[in-house]
Amino acid sequence: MSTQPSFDDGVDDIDLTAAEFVLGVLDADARRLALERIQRDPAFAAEVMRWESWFSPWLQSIAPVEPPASTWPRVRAALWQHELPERGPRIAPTVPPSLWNRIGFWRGVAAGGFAVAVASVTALLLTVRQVPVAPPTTPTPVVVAPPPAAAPMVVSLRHDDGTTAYTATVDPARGTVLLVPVRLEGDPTLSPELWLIPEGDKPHSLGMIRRDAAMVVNIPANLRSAANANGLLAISLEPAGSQAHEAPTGPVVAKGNVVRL
Amino acid sequence: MGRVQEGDDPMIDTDAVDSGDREQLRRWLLGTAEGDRRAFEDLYQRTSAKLFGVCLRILHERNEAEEVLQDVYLTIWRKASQYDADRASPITWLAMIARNKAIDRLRAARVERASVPLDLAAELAGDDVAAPELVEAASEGRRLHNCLEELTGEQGRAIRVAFFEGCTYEEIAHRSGTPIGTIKSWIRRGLLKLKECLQR
Repeated sequence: MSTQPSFDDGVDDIDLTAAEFVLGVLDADARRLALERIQRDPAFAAEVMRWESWFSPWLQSIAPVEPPASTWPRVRAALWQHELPERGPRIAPTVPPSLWNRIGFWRGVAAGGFAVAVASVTALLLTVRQVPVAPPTTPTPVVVAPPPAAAPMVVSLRHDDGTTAYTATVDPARGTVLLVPVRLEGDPTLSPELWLIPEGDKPHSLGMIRRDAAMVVNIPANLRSAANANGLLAISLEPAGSQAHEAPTGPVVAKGNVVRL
Repeated sequence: MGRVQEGDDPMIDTDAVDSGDREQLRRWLLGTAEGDRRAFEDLYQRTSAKLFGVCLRILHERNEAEEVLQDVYLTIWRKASQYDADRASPITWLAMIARNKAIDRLRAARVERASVPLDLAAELAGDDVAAPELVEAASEGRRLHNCLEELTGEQGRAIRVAFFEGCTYEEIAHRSGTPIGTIKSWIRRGLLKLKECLQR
């Protein structure tokens, strides 16, 4: 354990600037100096790249979020607005690929096979509001929320065979769960429903969710403290077109632990 | 929480997908470097959700993140020719641009988050980092994960918080109510150990 802030054993003399730059702990001035050094010191630049590649798994663990549809036109305008349309090749307006395709791009190929667990449980019926994540045609309104007191946590909702059905980013401070589908096994004619099961409590429905697109699910106010404690997120398969249930009526096909951060 | 089981190797099926995606991204970057707008737009369509997620993770605020994202793609357009395929994977290079821009914005914006308490003891070590579904991350992710296990709990948690929050030493110290010397010591010792392990 190195709980003592010791300044006398040489650790402070070792140049860790590249690592500190990549980690993001340098203040504005030190960052500027580091950036300048990257330009003129190839060994330092190489060290920065090494750290970037070492930390890249953390970057890749961050869930994709569809940006507003207005971003691309702004980028394009900033780069090329001074040009007359007749000059040069015009870029055909393109429809962004569906979110599903994009999310699909980032997921690996999950191993096949199903495993189904049945949970017998009862729960309260809860009202849920669900907001799709920035559909291409609708810029998402800004969600005004206080900065998070507890960091969001990423939970993989897995089938019993270990393959991932969804990744969920639980943000206790905002009271939201960002759900990104990976691959949900089970009867494709059924609809998935998301459940929050606080430790020692029964399942509470967070509503029906989509198989094919990322979405943000709001956690009802009375459950937010539960989302900030140990518990379980689970997905059951329910009859298509049904509303949020009091308790899962179909099999629980995937789950993941929410551990208090 | 999403701990990767030792023994199941999720990469068997994904290597082909992975290298295909890398290759595609690399071609688009190359095209972008040559001024090919179509390649640049394809690159945007394929990577913007990922990079927006990275910006949002640091900035928390959609408007800010969107502004930074625009800036990120302007930078990518200008600097695509500097991308060196031998030294970095395309997505790492792109995501690092996004992360650096987001951190720069955070520093410039004077931290209103400074008052938000940070519970270091409560931050979990990153056991979800090597989730097997993450393209191209799995084997590197396992390495990072394994090396982090060699650190003390405080070292690992402080490093993780720093990375995901983009906080300075000072801010972590302030927000967690821990002396800055202690925070620096945890992080710097942790980084040294991490380096030693990662370059083995």
